[in-house]
Amino acid sequence: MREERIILAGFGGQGVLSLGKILCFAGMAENRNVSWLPSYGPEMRGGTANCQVIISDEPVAAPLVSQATAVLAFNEPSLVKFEAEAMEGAAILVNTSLISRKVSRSDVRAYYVPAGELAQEAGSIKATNIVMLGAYMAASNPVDRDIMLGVMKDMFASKSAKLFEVNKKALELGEQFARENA
Amino acid sequence: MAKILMKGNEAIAEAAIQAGCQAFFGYPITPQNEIPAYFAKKMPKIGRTFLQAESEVAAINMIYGAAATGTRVMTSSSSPGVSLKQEGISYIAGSRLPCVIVNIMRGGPGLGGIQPSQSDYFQATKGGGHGDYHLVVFAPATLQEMADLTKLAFDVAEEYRVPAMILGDGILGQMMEPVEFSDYTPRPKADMSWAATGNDGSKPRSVINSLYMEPSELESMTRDLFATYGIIAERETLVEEYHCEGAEIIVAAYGTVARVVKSVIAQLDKEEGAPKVGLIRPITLWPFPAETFAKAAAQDSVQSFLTVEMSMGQMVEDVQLAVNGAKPVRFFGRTGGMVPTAKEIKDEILSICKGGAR
Repeated sequence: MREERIILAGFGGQGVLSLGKILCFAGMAENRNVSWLPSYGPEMRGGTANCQVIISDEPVAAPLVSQATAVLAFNEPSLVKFEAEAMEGAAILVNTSLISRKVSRSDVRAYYVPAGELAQEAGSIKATNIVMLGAYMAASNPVDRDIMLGVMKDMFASKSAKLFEVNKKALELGEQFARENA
Repeated sequence: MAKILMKGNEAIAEAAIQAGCQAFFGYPITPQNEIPAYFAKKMPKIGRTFLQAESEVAAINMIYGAAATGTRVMTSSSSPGVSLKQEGISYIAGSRLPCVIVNIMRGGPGLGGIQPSQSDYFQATKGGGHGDYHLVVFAPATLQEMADLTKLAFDVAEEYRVPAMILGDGILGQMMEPVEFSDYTPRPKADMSWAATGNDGSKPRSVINSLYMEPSELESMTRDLFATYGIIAERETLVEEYHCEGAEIIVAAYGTVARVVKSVIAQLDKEEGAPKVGLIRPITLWPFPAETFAKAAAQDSVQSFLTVEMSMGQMVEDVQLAVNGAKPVRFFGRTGGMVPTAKEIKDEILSICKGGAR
């Protein structure tokens, strides 16, 4: 059985919750079972935001992630808080544009991605989350790449063709960086 | 129809709209705000009513009034807000009116917190307001059930002229999962001739009232109500039995906690020498599926029961009554917005197997 248990965490506004939804849409497009559970409450604005996503071949029992197969840390408090939740061999993706510390475990696969800089290279700092997605796709192949591109096209191309191009580029830069720096 | 990825709160609101809910009255409170928000966006566009009342008390009395006309109506809130509604809920039950009330529970008592909880079980199933009455209480565990049970709640409420409640928790309200909206087949429309819809003198007056000054009249009204409850218990009790065949330990849990228990059972299934564990998940909390528990208690393989809740132990009392001393009933709970983890529940199960007393 294939099951991805993903923790995505960062500041509100970094596209963390949206990225969780994109992963769910891709899982649904693959006819797999998905769940998305956000943190909620007064920490929403300007504070931390995180969500837990499960993509599984089986129906999702608990939507709460334990033994995460991947942690996407967008800021330093998120890395500190969630690195312990990763299972052995999990991918931990670190946004080095905002995080200077290293992963403190040696039993996981750490990827250090300058997601902010790569997003700017792709055309918009707002695509930071998609750079992280690209790196995660290269690290773990959680969903089929063409299906993911299809989902992104549905989401972004309906707003503008340029928006899709920027995000597609961001995905590619993230993938490439993770592959070259594994 | 394709599956839609949405929040549990939104699934309730969409299902209510599809079920023909004509009016929603409510007052904001976390973690159920997506329900009024969804209605606010959709209802005006289809010529129906969304109204943010000045308080929870006002909202429930608007429900009382609208329900008296035989209109399908809903209100929603979270724990402290549902406490405020209790007077109105008792009046609605006493006046024999159908409506659907949603409680997306958060930690209590008092203002408590905003994180998920199941500590309103007593309030939902044992009364809440004053007087001899019950609500039919549905406890969804998936977003598909949030949608389907909302539609069912409207049908059941009208069929028996009783208020029904959807009792969820903050996780179910906030999480997203794909939902299919064409799964539910509506029941035939109930007789609504009792409704107060205006009178031109051609029929007897419709009186909607919960005041009976003559004790014998009130007793007879209440006996009628309880005769209806008897029929509801017979026909409408819903329960899921999961992996119970040959189980040594039966866990009782509802809502989000039942999902965590299923994760534990999946883990234990893979482990050699692990105890065989089943789950009884009440889907209606009132009427409570007591018979299912009694039958399980009579099963030779069953050594003991474990009730797990996000509370200090409320449903466990109904489990104990149903098991009636036939087997030991233990309890594990987290409260205040804490959610029991799979590991905690697993450890609890394993400690029972080792004969560890609590």
